[in-house]
Amino acid sequence: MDDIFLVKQAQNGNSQAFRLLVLRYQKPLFKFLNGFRLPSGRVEEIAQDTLFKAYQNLASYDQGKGASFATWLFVIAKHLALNELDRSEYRHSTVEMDQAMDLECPAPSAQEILVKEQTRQRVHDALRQVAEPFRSALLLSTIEELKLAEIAEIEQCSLGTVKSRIFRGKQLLAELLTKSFEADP
Amino acid sequence: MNTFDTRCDEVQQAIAIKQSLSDAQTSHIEICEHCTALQIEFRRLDDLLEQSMIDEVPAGFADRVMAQITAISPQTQAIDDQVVDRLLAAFYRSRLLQSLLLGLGIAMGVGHIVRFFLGLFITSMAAAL
Repeated sequence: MDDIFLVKQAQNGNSQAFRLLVLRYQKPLFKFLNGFRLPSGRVEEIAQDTLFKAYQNLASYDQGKGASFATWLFVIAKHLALNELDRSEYRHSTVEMDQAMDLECPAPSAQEILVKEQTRQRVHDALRQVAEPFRSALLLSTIEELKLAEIAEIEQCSLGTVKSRIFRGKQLLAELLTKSFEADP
Repeated sequence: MNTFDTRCDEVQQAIAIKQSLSDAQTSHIEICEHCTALQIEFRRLDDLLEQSMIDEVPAGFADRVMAQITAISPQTQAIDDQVVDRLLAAFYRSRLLQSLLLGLGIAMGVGHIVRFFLGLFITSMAAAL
């Protein structure tokens, strides 16, 4: 079942159709939102808000206007994530170790967990320093469900611009990570 | 022709967006150490990003979303309103029916009383005559 069919069903009041959309997009949404390094616990709230707002405004969503449901959903998610970042810009936030432990595969060694978590922390710290709009373009490019044209729609820029933003975002991230690994190997 | 000047930007962007490379671009990478280095660097970066991007969804997340939607969604509200309207309509219909039956009952009762007294009156009149 494609998104168009499910959206139409949901627009007609079929909540099970919307549930299928939730199940389809929950993983990419979490992946995208986690990249913003939002304060602990806020990722789930924002993911839930995103889907709730999407449902509330489903009547105004029109596939005929060109934007796919995925594009529309990620525009909402990006907007909410950036709002949250504005609010919590100076708040210190970290991923708690126990939270990270929960996400690991079964029984990795303590050292493996530590190394993985340190690397994850390093990447997220570097990502936080990548300026907008390069960061969101870069994060969106990691979502397999989104095509470049859709990322361009979310970012409200041309395809060429989104390509160069991803390129620049990766350059900036690579520079930041190199510095981080040099400073603390 | 200087391959670095003519192709590097294009090739590096293609690497960054993970676009499939054309034969010319692949050939360029083979002879351009800048692009080769960047390709290695971006591949490593993509791996790091892939490992670091947490896409785990908390247990029961979809259920919580749907519960929130069901609780206060306009759709549900509209359905609730319709149900309330129907119940009210049925209630009012039943009240009307009750009133009609009651009215009919009273009318029949009054009719019986009138007929009873009329019967008495006619009987007494007949006896007097």
